[in-house]
Order: sequence, then C-alpha cells, then structure tokens
Amino acid sequence: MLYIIGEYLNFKDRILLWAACNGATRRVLKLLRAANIPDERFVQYKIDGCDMPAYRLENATVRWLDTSHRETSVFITGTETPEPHTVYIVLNGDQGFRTIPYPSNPSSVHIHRTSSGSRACSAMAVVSAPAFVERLNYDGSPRDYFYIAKDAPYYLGSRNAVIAKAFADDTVCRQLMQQAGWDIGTL
Amino acid sequence: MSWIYNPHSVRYLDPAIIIAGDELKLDNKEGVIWEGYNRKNCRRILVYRTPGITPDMFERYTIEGTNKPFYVVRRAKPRWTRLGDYETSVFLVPNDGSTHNHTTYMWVGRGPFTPIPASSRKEDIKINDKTFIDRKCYQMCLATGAVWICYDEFVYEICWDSYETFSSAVKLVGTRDEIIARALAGDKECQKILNSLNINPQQIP
Repeated sequence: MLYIIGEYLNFKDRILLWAACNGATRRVLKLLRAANIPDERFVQYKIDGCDMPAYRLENATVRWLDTSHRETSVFITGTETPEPHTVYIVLNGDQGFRTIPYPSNPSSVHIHRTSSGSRACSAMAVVSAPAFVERLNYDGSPRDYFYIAKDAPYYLGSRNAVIAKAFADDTVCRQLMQQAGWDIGTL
Repeated sequence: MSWIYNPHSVRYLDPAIIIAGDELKLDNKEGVIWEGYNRKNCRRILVYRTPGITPDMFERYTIEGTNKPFYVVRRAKPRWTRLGDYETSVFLVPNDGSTHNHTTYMWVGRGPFTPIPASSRKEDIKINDKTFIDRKCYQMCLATGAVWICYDEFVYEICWDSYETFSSAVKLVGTRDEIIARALAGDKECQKILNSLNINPQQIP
C-alpha cells in the first residue's frame, strides 16, 4: 500500500503531481507518476482529527532520482502484485517536517529532501511504515505529530496532546514520547 | 543509385541532411552557416555550406511544440575534417545519390547535449564534438542513423523515413520526467533512452 500525505495533488497534469521549489538556486522537489497510473488509482483518504490531504494507492510503489543538480524526483509506479510493505510519501510545501523512527523500524526513511527558502521550507520524504512525522512551524519548532502506521496514517495532535495521551496510557504516544526523547519533569 | 524517384525503394528517394537545434546563418558570405567557438585555444566547430549548396536549398521547419528550428537540405551530404584538438569542420556538399543515399542527421547546440543512437550502434555517430569554457558550451553531432538528443530537460528524436514528410523529421519526445514516467510504465524505447543516459531511479530495498 502506498500513502501520499501532506499536500493536495494536481491531477491536471499527466505526470507531475506536485512540485515545490523555494528559490532559483534551491532544490526542486517533484512528485510524478508513471504514465500508466490513472487518476482513479488515487483514493482520497480522510485522516481523523485534521484536514491534511491524504491519498491511498494499491499496487503501487515508488522510485526516485536524486540528482546532483539540485533536483529530487519521486515517481509513483505500478506493481503487478500487492506491495508487502506500507510506504508513505510525505509532502510539505509550508515549513517542512522531521521524521522520528519507530522503535521497531529504525531505518524507515529512504529519502528526505528539503527546499529551503527565506520564508518557507518545502520537504518531501519516502518513508516505510511505521514511523512518526513531526510537522514544523516557521521557527522550526514542532507543530503537530502524525503516526504513519502500516494500516493507515493517524493524527496525534500537538506535543502537549501527545504527552497527555501518553499519560493516559496511549501506547503509540508513549512510543513517540520515548523516541523523541522529550524531557518530562516529575516529582 | 539515383535520388530520382524509385517506387520500389522509396528510402533512397531524397538523400538529405537534417540539421536541428539552432538557427543557421545562411547569409554568411564565407559559407559558415554555424559556428561554435569560445576563445583562442578552444576547439572551433564549424559548419560550412559549399558553393553547390545554395541558401534556398535549406528548408526551415520548427520542431513541433517548441521554438527550435531545424533545416532540411535535400540532395546534400556531409564531409568533415578534424584538426587535432583545434577545429572540427563539416562541409555540406551536393549529393546526387550515387555514392551516398542515406539521410544524415546533425544537431548543433548552444549547450551540452547527449546524442544516443536509436540503433544502439555507436558507429552511427560520426562526430560528437563540443567546445566549452566556464558555462558557455557549443556542441555538434553528426550521425548517419536516427538519434535521440538529450538537451536540457528535453529529449528530441531526429529520424526520417521517406514515408513521412520532412516537417516531422525532428520530434520532441518529451521532457526527461516524461521519459522516466513512460519508461516506468513499460515503454521500451524510453527504457532504452534511460539506460543510455545511465538513469536508473532508485527503489526501496
């Protein structure tokens, strides 16, 4: 299964689904599809608790080119058999994001590239589930968190919401709290 | 074999030379219709029109979907000479079809490009010379078979079959991204282009 989360895709173009670049000398990030992937393959998916766009594709995987001349292109390609792994393409055209590995999946990030400008930092990553995604604010501080699981993406909320849920024995939030190494004071 | 129409062998109808990629200076008095030169001690690349080839023999077309020109010179063939590292000259000479009855293809560019013989025969490319300094580059390629030209983000094809009109002899195949997208969708021709360019998208291990 392949999920694309973070940005709306442009289906008007035959191939180019999303692109971001924050300056002429900055890296160009592109999400493209193979010529045989029609629009119908992209099923819109609603993540509970947030309005971030998400799409799901079955029998699809990714290939990518990371060229030295400041261009990163990720291609969605079809597969004949269902993909055994759940892969996420995480996009952000705003202030970027960080990925936090899940304990059982330490090397989940296959590629993570950013295009930093003076006012924005677009980012794109290919991540194998499970992992956590931390969206960032303008100043680089964390905005909110997502758990990109093998079955679907989940919205966890802000840092405080995650901590509160962790104290309420939410396993996923506890994992995130541990992995992120947050310093929580206690008596 | 003559260039005169032969219904059983239409491939030999009009041995021509097709020059694509850049504007030619047909009014140059010395006959230099294209020149690539940066400065002293750099290679000079020249394309000459010999007296038997008159400016009116150049049919000008535009590559569909672009503003790039290409020229067709019927009953012409190239001769060339290379002077060490200093000069490459191509001369367009009249051709009655008696000794050379195939179309030849040239791409002249103000920027680097990669020619790929469509037949995979490297010997189809007779000349592929460039002269560059800093960011300024001129390149010229001469081929005796159909070639794909990877220039900037685009891939062009120079291929003429006598069943076609000359106006479609040079085509824009697509952008590099389109070529990759088609190759990933199983297009064999695009896969061949990618292999020749050594482009192999990475995948999840």
